[in-house]
Amino acid sequence: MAVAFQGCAVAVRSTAVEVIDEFRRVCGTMVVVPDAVTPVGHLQVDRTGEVYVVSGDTDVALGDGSLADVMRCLRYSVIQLFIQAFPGLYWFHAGAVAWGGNAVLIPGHRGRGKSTLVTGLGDHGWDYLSDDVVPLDPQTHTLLPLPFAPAKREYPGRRMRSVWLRTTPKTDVTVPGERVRSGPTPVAAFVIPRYRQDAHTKVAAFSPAQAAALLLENCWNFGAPRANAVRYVCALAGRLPAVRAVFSDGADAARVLAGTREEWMMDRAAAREA
Amino acid sequence: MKVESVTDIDWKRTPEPQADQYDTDVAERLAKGRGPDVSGLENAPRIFDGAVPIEETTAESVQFPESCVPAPADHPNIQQAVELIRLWPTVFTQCQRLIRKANFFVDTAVPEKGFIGSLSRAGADGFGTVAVTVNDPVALAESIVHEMGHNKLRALGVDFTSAKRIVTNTEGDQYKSPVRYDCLRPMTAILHAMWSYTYLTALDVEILRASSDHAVKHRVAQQSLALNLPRLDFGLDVLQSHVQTDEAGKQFFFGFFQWLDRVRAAGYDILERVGIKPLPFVHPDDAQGKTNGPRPARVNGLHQYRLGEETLIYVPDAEKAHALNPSAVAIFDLCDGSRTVQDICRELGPLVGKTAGELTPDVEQGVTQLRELGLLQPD
Repeated sequence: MAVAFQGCAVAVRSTAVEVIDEFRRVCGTMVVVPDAVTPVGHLQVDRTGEVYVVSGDTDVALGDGSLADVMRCLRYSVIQLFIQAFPGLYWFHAGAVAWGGNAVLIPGHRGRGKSTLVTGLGDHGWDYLSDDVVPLDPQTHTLLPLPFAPAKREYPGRRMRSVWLRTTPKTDVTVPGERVRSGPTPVAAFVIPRYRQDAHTKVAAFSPAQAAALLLENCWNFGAPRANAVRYVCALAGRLPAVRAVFSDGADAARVLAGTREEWMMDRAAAREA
Repeated sequence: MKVESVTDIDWKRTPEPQADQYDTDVAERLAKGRGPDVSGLENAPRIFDGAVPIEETTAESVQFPESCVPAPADHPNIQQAVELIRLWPTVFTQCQRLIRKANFFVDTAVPEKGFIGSLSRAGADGFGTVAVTVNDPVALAESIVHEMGHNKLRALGVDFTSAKRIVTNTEGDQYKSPVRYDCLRPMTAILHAMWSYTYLTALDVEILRASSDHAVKHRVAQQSLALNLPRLDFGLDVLQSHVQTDEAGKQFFFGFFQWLDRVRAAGYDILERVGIKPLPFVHPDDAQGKTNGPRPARVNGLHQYRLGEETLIYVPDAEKAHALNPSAVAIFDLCDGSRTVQDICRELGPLVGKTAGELTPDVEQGVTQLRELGLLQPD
C-alpha cells in the first residue's frame, strides 16, 4: 500500500496482512495505489515471532512491538518523511477542523485536548483535517489535510499523573468519508485547548502574542530561514482571532465552541479589519 | 487576678488583651500610680462611657504642628471612633482603664473626610494620656488604640529607647523599623512599633468582622490593613532575628508572637476574601541599596514582534519564543544595561500611579523571570 500527501507517497509493505489492513484503516482517504504518485520513502514491517519489526526510511523507535505500537511507528515515520519532502510547509503539533471555507487550527501539547475537540466538533458537523499534525502552507495561508484516523483519550474523571498520557491508549473515532476534507482550507482562527480537571467549559479570547508563542512552541518544522517563519507566525497570530477553551467535558466544550462559532471566528476578525 | 510582684506575672498573657483584663491589671500595677494630674477635669466632657475626660490644650504642648487646632469635644468623629473601638470590648475596657485623659485636635492642613491617617502621640503628661487628630473617625479609633498600646508597653517596662525588662538589646544596637525610615532604631523602638501596629491591626480586624458599614470596612481593608500587614511581616522578621530578652521577655515574646500570628492570619484572610491585595513593603534602605546594584541588560540578537499591547520575543539561539504582557514589556524595554532595578521602578512609577517602593517587588520578580527565560544577561 502507499500513503499519499500532496502528490507524494510513502510505500508501506508487510507480509503480515493484519498490519496492512490496520494501517489502511488508520490512513483512510490517504491510501493510494502504489506507484501512482512520486515516492518519497518506503517502510517495511516484518513479523518475528510475537513482535513486529519496522525497517526502511525511519528512525522512529518501536516500543513493545505490538500491533498498536507498529501503527504508531508507521504513522510518525510517514509524517517524518512528508516533513522532509515538504520543508517549505510549517508542520504544527495540532488538530484542525473546518467549517465552510474556514479552517481552525487547534495547537497544543500532549494531553491538552486537541483530539477531543477535533472529534467533538466533528459531531457538530465540522469537517476533519487532522487530529495530531497539521501542515500549513505559508504561501496560501491554508491548512492541508493529513487525515489519519482520529483517536482520543477517554479521561478517567479524576486527576492522573502525566505518565497516564503516555500509557493510556487512545480510542479510535470513525469519521465518515464525506466529513474528511480533501483540499487545502484557509486558516481562519486558532483554538487553544486546555483540559483541566473539574473545570466548567469556558471560552475566552487568547492574546495574539500568546497564540504566536504557542504556535511556535508547537511547530515541528519551520523550514529556513527560521526568522521568516517566526515573522510569518506572528503576522498570522496578529491577524486571526484566537480563543482558549478550558474544559473537563470535551463534548460540552465542542458544543459551546460550535454554538458560539460566529462570535469567536467572525466578530474579532471583523473588529480587526475595522 | 491580682498581681503581687513582678516575678508572679504570667508574661505570656501580657501582650494580647485578655478578656479578664489580666494584662490591664499588670500594666496598672507596674505603672505604680504614674499618670497625669486630672484634677480640674472633674466637669470636663468625657468619652468611653464617662471614663476618660477630654482636656482642651494647645498643639504646642503636645508637639503637634501649628495646623492643628483643638477639636470641639462634641466633634462627631470622636463618638464614632469610640463606637468603633466598642466593637472590640476587651480593648474598650482597657482604654477606659489605661487612658487617663485625651486631647483632640483638628488638623486644618488635611481634609476632614476621605482618607485614613492621623497624628497621635502620648500627651504632654506622658503615661496615660493620648493626643490625637480627629479628622477621620477610623484613623482616630486606630490612633487611640495605638497610643493606648504604647502606654501599656511603657507600663510593662519598655520605653522607646530603653527597657527595665523584657528587651535586653542595648540602645546602641540599631535596626530597620517597619514604620520609621529616616534612621535605624533601637530594638525597644522596634518593639513599640510592632506592638502598637499589632494593636491597630487587631482593631482593624475587629472592625471588619463586626461593622455593618461597608464603606468603612472597604476603607479599613484597603487603606489600613493592606498597608500594615506587610509592615508587620517585615518587623516580625527583624524581631525574630535580633531581639534579645530576659526571662520575662522570653515568656512575653512567646505570647506576643502567638497573638501577632493570629492577627496577621486573620488580616490576610480578610484581604483575600474581599479581593484586596496587600501592598508589598520594601524598607527604603533595601530599595536604596539597589541603586548601586546590578543593571539588567537584554541579551543580544533577540527578535521582537509587537502584537497589540503584548510582545513576542524570539530567542534564536534557544529557538524559543516568549509572549510578554504589557507589564513585562515595560520592564523589558528599560533593561538596557544602564538602569538599576530602582531606576526602572522610578521610571515606571508615575506611569502606573505607584511609588518606586511599591513597585520594587513586582519589578524584581519581573527581572528575575525575564532572566530565567533567557531574555536578560546573567547577573
